[in-house]
Amino acid sequence: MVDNPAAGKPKSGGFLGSLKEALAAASRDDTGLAAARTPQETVAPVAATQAVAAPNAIPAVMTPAVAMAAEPPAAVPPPIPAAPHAPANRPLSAAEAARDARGVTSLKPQNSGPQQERHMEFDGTNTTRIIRGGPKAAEPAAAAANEPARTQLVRGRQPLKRGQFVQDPVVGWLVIVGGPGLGAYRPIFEGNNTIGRAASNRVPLDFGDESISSEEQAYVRYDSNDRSFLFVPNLSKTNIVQVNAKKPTAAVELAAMDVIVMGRTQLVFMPFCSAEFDWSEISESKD
Amino acid sequence: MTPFDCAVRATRGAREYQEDSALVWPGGVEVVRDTTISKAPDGCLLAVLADGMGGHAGGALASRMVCDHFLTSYAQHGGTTVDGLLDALAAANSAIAGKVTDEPLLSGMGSTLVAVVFSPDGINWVSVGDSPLWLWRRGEIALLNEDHSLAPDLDKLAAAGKMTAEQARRDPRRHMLRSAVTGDDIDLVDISRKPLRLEPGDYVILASDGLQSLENSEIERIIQAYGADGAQPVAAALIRAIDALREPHQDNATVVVVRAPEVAV
Repeated sequence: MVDNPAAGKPKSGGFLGSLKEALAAASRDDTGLAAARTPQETVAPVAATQAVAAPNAIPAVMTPAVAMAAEPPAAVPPPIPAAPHAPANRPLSAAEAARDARGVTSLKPQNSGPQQERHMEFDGTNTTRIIRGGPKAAEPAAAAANEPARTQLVRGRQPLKRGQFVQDPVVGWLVIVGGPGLGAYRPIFEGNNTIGRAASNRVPLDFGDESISSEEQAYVRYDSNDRSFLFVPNLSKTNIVQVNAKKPTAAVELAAMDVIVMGRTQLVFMPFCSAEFDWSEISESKD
Repeated sequence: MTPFDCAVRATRGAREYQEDSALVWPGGVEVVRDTTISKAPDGCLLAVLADGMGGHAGGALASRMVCDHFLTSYAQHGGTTVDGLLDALAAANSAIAGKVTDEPLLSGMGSTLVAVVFSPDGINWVSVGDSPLWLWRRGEIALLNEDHSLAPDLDKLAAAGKMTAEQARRDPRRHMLRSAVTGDDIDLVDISRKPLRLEPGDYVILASDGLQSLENSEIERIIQAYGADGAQPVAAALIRAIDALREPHQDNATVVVVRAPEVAV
């Protein structure tokens, strides 16, 4: 499976990083590995003789192979193999040639001299981005010290652009865990949320529980300044509400998984905004 | 004589859609509508491959756009090869940005890109993402471009004994990208430092990461077996091998196979 009859050399463990090849590349050692290979010119003047070829007349070239690419392109007879070249410079193996063009340390372009400026044009603008952990490009020195380029940047980013909100941004939810409407939920928005049976409430609990007041039986308020949620009972209503089995007579702060009972409906509060997140963070950092 | 024998093949794998795109120029004249740029410099060839992401419509569109705009931009460039590649990358990226601005629903679409210029001096490439670019020479393949997915990190974890090689191979994070062409600024760009001279009989393979369902040794073996017959049989054999795996979640796989010219000097 891994033998290479034509190469005529023992197959090393991996094509990169094999010790033998690393040594060969470093020392330009001409023995062993190199001797086992068919000598060929290292720097064949590849297309020098082909300047006469009319590039537009190349039939082998595939027209856009976009999508299916099912039909094979017009085949071109393979060129006649050239006669073996006289031994000249030691030929480079695939891995060596790759290292050569890549650069020995496999430095990224931004680390290698003149291309740095070119690279910066991609990195110049500082747009909204989400960083998903790992060292950032901002610490190249430390990363480069450990490891040549290949793994030094671990950074993910969501390719997203934020536009306008399509609706009031949701800051939390009330999930119905008991009573009519079981399994449903209602979003909570920034500011004051009136809760009642009628559709005119910002949080309408219109699932058929008649024991909920139709208008403003209670309020849930979200304050983006301190990122807190308050549950405020409307004491002018005769129906009683409970939060965590207590009957509040004034505003109580809500925490995740608090249980609210209104009439025969049981709701669980789930915050979306919290100390970790508020929508203002995004709009502030928006470019 | 044709300087470069090349072929493009693709399979959808187990997917319902094809998000890969590939173009070779000269040849893709219908996307290069300006006739003044349809003539490539003598002895030169540009191959572009892109693996789209961002859902069915978005991914296919993104990879297609990236290929088209990259090629069109490169075909018009006047400076050095490296400048041409970087400018073309920027053009492809702006095209995606413009499209997403026009149609916010497409937000999140993006693509990898690997592009190779074959010239008498050798090959130059630019790469963003995890679409592999290999050089095959005398029975061995070597990865030329950098892998901007998390795969190298997983392999490192495996090497350090933190997970098994099989776990690393199956980890879904293999396909998470650290850099892609999304219209936003590009995190990582890999570009060749100097032209890599080809030798007669060399093969250069551009692929989408779906091809990596094959072991490297298997890819080496296939090129070894079909290399003498030309690019077309090699490309067909690689895709056939992917289809033969019958992986239940096989990703789209596309290859552009280019054979270095045989030179009788």
